[in-house]
Amino acid sequence: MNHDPLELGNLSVKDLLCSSQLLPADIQRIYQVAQQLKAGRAQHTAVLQHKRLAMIFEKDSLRTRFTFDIGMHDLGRQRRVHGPPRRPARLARVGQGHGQELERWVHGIVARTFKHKVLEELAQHSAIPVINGLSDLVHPCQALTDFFTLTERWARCAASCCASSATATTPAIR
Amino acid sequence: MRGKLLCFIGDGNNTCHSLIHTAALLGTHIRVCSPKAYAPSPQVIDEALKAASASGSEIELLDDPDQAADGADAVYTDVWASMGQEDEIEDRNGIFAHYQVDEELMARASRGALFMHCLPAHRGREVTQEVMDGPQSIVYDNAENRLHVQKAILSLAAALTASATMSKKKIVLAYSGGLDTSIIIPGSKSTTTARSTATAATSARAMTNCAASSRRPGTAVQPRARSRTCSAPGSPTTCGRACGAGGVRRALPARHQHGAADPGQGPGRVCQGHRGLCRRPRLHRQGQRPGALSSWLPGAGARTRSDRAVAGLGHQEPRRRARLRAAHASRSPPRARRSTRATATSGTSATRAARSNRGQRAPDDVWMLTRDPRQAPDAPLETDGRLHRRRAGVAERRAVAGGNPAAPAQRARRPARRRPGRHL
Repeated sequence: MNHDPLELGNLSVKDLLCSSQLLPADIQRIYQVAQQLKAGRAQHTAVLQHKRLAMIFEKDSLRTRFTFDIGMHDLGRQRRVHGPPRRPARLARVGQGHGQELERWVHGIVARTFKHKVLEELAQHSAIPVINGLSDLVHPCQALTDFFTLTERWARCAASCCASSATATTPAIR
Repeated sequence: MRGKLLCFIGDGNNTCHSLIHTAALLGTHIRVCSPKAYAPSPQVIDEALKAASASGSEIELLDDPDQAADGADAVYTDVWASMGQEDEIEDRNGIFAHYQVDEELMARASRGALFMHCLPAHRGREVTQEVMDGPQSIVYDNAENRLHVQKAILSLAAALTASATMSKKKIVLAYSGGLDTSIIIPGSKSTTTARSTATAATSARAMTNCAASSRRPGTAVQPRARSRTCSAPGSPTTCGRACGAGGVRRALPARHQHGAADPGQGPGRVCQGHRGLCRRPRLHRQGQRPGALSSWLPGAGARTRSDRAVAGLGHQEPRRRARLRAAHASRSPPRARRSTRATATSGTSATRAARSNRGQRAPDDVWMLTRDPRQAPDAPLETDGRLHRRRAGVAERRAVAGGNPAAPAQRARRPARRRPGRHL
């Protein structure tokens, strides 16, 4: 916390519902931070201190649930992450009141819903960020990660064989 | 990223949609190869094409996997039947059989092409065992990166939380009576990045102010003597609870506003209005109710007095309060105090003026007492009362003099200084 070199600005949007809503600069910032967090996993442990995350899954989830869970723990050293209920929750049934309710308890919501519209409503009715953990329409966390991995690989490849291909050496993460 | 080619083979599902969106933003070319009936949604393509025209990325839709894989820098596939489509598995297995990623297909891609899968994979269906576990596969690196990227998203979203719930640069708590700033100021400091300043007016003083301002047309001050509820429309909770002893609405003067905005002052400088004699029973009780002040409190679990002491949250001991009260009573109050006190208790002209003013509702943003940090306005409304300005000068000096932002709790316990009309 004392020597935190992370520069966490804001994304241009409140929620991460679809990657199309982001700007290229947002993605670059996410990748920059991800790179820092990956390199300094042991150091950046107080970024989300005292922050709580609600995770709601209408559908089953393994990777999304675990990674967000572990991520929260990594960043805040806290055990208490509001995990998913035993049985999948149905947001649609609760409707728009859900977001207003949740924002009083937690600092962010990760939700996996059947219908993308439910996510949009949730985001619209809450002041806290809503992160899409897969809906019927899009899966932004996955795609962002895919390109992050590709960026890493291609940057490494470009570094190793930059002599051969001068055209394909755009610095991956800037 | 720019100029590279990602080839997605398989069902045009949600993962595919997001890949298209992201590729279009990053300037990566993307080829999507799927059976015609399972192509990605046209809306997604339309939207992505707009972004692609800016970034220079190309989006191609094909239905021949061999053609699609030609020269690709990465080949991506996903399960043929996503969650919720389990009953279609048999049909889909037939339709997609041609779209399996095997070594032959990977050979068509460029040298050193990478294979990706968003997992869980079905070896032998959308991808063969050899490719999935082969040297070109970066499937598990990618799975690991889910953690890092999502941590980044969370971190950035958390920064966003601070600014979305508190898109405020500064919080000013204007209150009268017993607002427990020893909780609220550290609490707001810990949950927001905004500067927190509190200013206090006792009921008696505010009453005088109100009386003065009520003669001035257009002044946004509404006295609410002894009232414990706030009727601010749109407020989800009654502010009276946070207000403790309740009291008088008081608009913050412009002068104080500048003082609080002084960068040298730093965050969380508090003008400690109550001096141990004020009452704050409601707040205290509220503070003990779990969740009631959770948005302010750093350690929301602190319920009992000892807990709060451990958490470094101030608590005024009753005995000390009694002693102060006794000491106060034995001293003859200065004239100014005497008069305001009379006003506050017995309904003289000032109170009457205050009462007559009751029907006039102050604008919402004047009223800054709120239990919800999000409700705090950016800046207090200016008022034009000369009286306010003079008084605010006093408050400002107090704020500067008493300013040790690190220890507001300690300050709350400091012996009271005598100043006329500072308490209830």
